[in-house]
Amino acid sequence: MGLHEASAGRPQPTRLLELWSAARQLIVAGSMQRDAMLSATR
Amino acid sequence: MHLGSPRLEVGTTSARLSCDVHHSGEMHTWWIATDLDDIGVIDLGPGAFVPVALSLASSLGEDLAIEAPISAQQLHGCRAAAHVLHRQWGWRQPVVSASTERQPFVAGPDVGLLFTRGIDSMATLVASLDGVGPRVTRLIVIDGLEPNHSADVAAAVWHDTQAVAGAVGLPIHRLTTNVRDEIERYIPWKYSHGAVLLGSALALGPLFDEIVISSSNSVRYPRANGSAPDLDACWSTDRTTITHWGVSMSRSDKAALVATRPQLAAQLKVCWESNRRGNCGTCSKCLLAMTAFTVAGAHSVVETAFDGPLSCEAIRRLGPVPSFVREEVIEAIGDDQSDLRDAWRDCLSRERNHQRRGLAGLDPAERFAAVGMTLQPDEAVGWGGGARAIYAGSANRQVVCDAPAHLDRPLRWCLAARATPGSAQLATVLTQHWGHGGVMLTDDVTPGPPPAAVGRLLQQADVRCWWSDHDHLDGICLLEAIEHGCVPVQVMPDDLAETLRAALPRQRPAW
Repeated sequence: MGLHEASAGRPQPTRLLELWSAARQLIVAGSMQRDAMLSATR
Repeated sequence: MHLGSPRLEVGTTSARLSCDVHHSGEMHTWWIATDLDDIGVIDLGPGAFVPVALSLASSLGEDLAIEAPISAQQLHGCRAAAHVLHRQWGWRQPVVSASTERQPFVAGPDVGLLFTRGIDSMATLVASLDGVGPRVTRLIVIDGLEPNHSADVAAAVWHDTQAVAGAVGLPIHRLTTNVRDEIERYIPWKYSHGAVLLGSALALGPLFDEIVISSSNSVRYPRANGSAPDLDACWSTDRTTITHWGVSMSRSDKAALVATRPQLAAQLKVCWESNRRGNCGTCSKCLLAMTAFTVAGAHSVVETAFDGPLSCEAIRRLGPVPSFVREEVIEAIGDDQSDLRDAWRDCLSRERNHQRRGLAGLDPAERFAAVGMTLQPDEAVGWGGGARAIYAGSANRQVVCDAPAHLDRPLRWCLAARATPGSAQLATVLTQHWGHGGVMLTDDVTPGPPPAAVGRLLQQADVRCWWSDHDHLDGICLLEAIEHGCVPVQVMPDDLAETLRAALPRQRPAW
């Protein structure tokens, strides 16, 4: 998030859970994409 | 800061010039001691303490008042030095107040060389003996500075240094001081060594028309350093000129020059990590020196001056190599010694990867290696901006999917990061606006908290925040946060955050 948003105070719990979910999706989706690329080259 | 008037205290074996210094709200006493033989040539003015006082005042952000008069040249030099220190390290330029007077004695005819028996000062000595360097007539040793030497080892080292002076027929002067210990709490040695060494030598200023300090850097590899040509020259007085010598020589040039005098080369003393009279042959400083001699074709020096052979395995086992001459030494290794070059490259790659290890212990290179992939030292890890996404194997992926967020922990947020201006600013913002949290900032100088301690901090916090002004989402901080049940929040300048949002996959909510 931008510094301006951070300066407005800690996000509400719903927003935090949204960020949590997004972070997990980044990790998992990226890894699955990698798996797909690897299996396509085999 | 207030630098008091020096006083001379004469003991049974040494004479000590002491000075009361008030800084940081405390009174300290700095001293420089000489053997009694040199009591007649001690400079009783404050000039010997001025370089360190100016450096410390600059780093602390205090002004400097000097009670006793100093030479006009040195006062002028203080102001120039403050400018250099500001440029190099970002320190504040202090207001320096002092009266000036002409120094009472004309300079002696001598040229003193600060001598450690390291490659740099040994090369200067050999150049002098060969008539191609400064005309050195006396050697100056600042003794007792090595932190790992016992009294017995220090005595043996001093004995060997005296033997070198005897072998080349030069008088040698020994000084000791507590100034390094006094200021190392505030300024790392690499920032202050020039001021400490040259200041101490100026205690014998009446002897010297010129004092020579040997360059560690060559012009091809300029680095900000506590001893540099433009900085060292600032410490000159009306009577004594400070010369920084050897910048035109590479490390290999110096090694080759020293090797032309086998008897002197055998007396090299570069090792400071171990408590021994000689050179261990396994620490980073020894291995760099041995490599320089090998590159110069001086294999016999490696055999005579070091306690073991040069080993590629020892190089690969090294931890961080803090020396700023390492790139210079490694780049000079020719194709005919590719084994040696590969060993150094492996060592540096591991170090660079280690430096970006997360503070909670996550090693990105290890994570990639675990799934048969290689992470290059310069590759960014994360998402967006060309960074490489960190890979989670299927087992780890399940752990990530199952992990619950915790929003009921004792700390509403935490900031565990390396100290940067951005991190400090973020700590201020979070403290003001986010309620109860925890901050742990580490720097490159002070050993940081162990990863387990950082992990415990993360486990106590709902949210882990960190600052970034890069163009990608930091994968290391993010994954560490997730693995400790913290919501990850990267805070950035607003414009960069906007750009990164656009670069991340669209279905994700705004970061």
